[in-house]
Parts: sequence; C-alpha cells; structure tokens
Amino acid sequence: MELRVLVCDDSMLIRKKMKDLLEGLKCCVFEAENGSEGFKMYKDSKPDAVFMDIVMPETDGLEALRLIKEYDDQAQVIMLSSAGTATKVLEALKRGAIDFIQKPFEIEQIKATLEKVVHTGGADG
Amino acid sequence: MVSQYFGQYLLTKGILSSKQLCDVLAYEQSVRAFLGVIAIDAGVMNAQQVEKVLQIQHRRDRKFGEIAVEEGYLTSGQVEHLLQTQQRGYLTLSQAIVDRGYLSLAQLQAALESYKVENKLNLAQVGSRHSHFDGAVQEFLDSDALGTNAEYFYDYVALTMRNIVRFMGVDPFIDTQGTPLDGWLICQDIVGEVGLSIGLVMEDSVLLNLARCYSGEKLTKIDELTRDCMAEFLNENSGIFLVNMSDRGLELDLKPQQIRKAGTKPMENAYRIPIRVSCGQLDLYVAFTK
Repeated sequence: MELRVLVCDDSMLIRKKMKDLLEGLKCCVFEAENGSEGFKMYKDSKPDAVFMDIVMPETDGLEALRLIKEYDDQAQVIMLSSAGTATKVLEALKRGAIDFIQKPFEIEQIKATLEKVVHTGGADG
Repeated sequence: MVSQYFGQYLLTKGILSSKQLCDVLAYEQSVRAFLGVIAIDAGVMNAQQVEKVLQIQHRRDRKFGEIAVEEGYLTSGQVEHLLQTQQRGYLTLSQAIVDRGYLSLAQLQAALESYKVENKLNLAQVGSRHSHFDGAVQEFLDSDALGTNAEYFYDYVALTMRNIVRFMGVDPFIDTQGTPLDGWLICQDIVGEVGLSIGLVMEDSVLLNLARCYSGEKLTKIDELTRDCMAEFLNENSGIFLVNMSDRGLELDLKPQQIRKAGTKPMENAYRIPIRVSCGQLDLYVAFTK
C-alpha cells in the first residue's frame, strides 16, 4: 500500500504488533507513546493515516484527535481502543475520526480501514 | 467444555486438591478424551459397561464404539454423536483426571453425576463457560459481603476468568487456598458513576508464561515488553467491561494502567481473588472507590 502510518498507543505490545502488521503491508510506520507525542509526530511526519488509542497518559487519544483535526482537517484518524463505549465512539466520530476499531482487533479490520484511507484519497497517488 | 467449572467443583468438594487440579489442567492440553469417558458423561453408558468394553478391546482388535454397539450399549447414532463430541475436544479434563490416576472411572461417574444434579446441568449446558464462571465467583464471595456493588464485582471477576480462557488459552479456576502473592502489580482505575480499582499480581514465572500466551511473542525475560503484555491484557479486559456496562446504560471511563512491584499489601481495601492456572497463581484485586 506504501502508506505512511502513525501508530499512537502507550502499549509497547500494540505498537509492535501494529508495526509488524503494517510493515508487512509495505507501510512506513511512525510510533508515538501518548497523545502529545502523537500530535507532534503528526506535524513532523504528515502521515497518510493515524491509528490512535484513547486511554493514554498525559494527553489522551480524543484530545490528540481534536488537536490533529484542528491542525489538518483532512487528517485520516482511526481510533483503536479497548474503550469502545457508545459515548466514546460517538465523541470520536464527532471529532472527525473516520473509524473506530475495538481492541482486540483483527488483522482484516486494519487492512479494511487502510483500504478506506486509500479510496478516500488519504494517500498521495 | 466441562472442564472449567467441573474442575472448580472437584476442588470445592475436596475431590481433587489444588495441586492435582493444576496437574490435570496442564496434562489436559495434551490429551483427547476417550470415548468411554464421553459416554459416561453423556449418561449413555455406565462405568461397568465401559470397563467391560475395554476388557473385550484387550482381546479383540476392534474400536471402542464398534464393541459398544455389538454389546448393545450404544446405537451407531450415539457413537457418531460421541465421536463428534470427542472431536470438539469436550471432556478432556475428565480424561486427564482418569489418566493421571486421581479418580477411577466409577469415581469419575459419581462425581459427574453429583455435579450435574447439584448444578441442574445437562451436557449442552455444561458447554456454557459463562454460567460456570458466574457460579464459581458467586460461591467465592457472597453478595451480602459486597452489598450494592455485588453485580459489578461478579461481572468483572467472571469476565476476567472468561478472558483468561479467551485471550490466553489457559483454564483458570478460583483457588480459595491460594495465599497472597508478592510480585508485579498491574493496576488500572475505572471511574464514573461506579468506581473500581483493579489489580493483577503475579510472580515472574507466571507473568512470563501468561505474557507469552497472550501476545504470541517469543518472550524470554521480564522486561518492559513482557510487563506491557499483561498491562494490555488488563486494559482490554477492562475495556470489554466498560462496553458491557455501556450496553446497560452505565457509562464509565478508564485510566491508564500502572505497573510496579506489588509489595506485601498491593492494594488497600480490595477483595483478593486467587486464580490458579496450570503455570501458577495470579491474584486479582478488586476495590470499590465509589
């Protein structure tokens, strides 16, 4: 797919799993451990897609989503969280997330979401 | 699978010791149930009939099912059904108990019968893990001790037991004899209208084993990644609890997990649930903060 993807999650395991999976799909992966680091990395690396956890120390994922969308309203942010309650999903979608994947995730869900990013023009070319 | 709560039942009744149950749970993973054991559990043969078929089988090179039909104990349709059950991996705990010599076929039959009578179960119901864990948790601590928080306590603990099976592929049971552990504490707060503080305590060897089972990663030592595996397990477990509560109209929030050395008193004012798996013990702590 050759996408540039930012994975923002405080879990080292999730970052490793996502990195292995995404690199297997020929994506270039950037990693951040919390929301503020994720926002900074978004500005620095301008990824095609972001997988964003919600429950993280310092700045949480919903706040990071708000910051990223304020900075770039075309940002393609997918929430990837265990806290998939009705309120959280609604809040994420209202703030401009394009999808919400509940952990534990399936590989096919990640692939399908990336296809969506490609088709909505998230990737150059 | 009969094993989850039947194992708990055998322990509670003193039919098996905690050490024996751990041994059969570890052994269980390597065996497939013998058709005679499945037939006893299904109530279509008794122990004497199974013993007789086995004696005939020693003399004649025939399959168990063929002899049982020949002797008039089973129909070919029943054999077919039992074979399907065997392929689905049911009753391996019973098989492991017999193989390890902890119970004879007759003792197993008696234990299974009393278990089913006491729990009003049939074979189909035995397959439901959900009700078994709920029952085990409620037996461990009665609702009077928990007051208005009982519902959340039972839900969280039973969910954790199910998710240990679901995400780690190991069989847990509540071991009332389990003494408090001093190891790693992985904890997380759930906040909102109801507040819970959850902790998992385990020693290095169990942490490493469960982290491997959960992550599928080739972990060799206790490092940041290994500890993070169990923190992520706790996070996903609590996340599913939040979704279940949300479905019931109760919106709760999660705080990030923390990992530290447990010490002798890991959490204040918390209920401790000692959970035994084949590789050792982990303590689940649940405290109500609101």
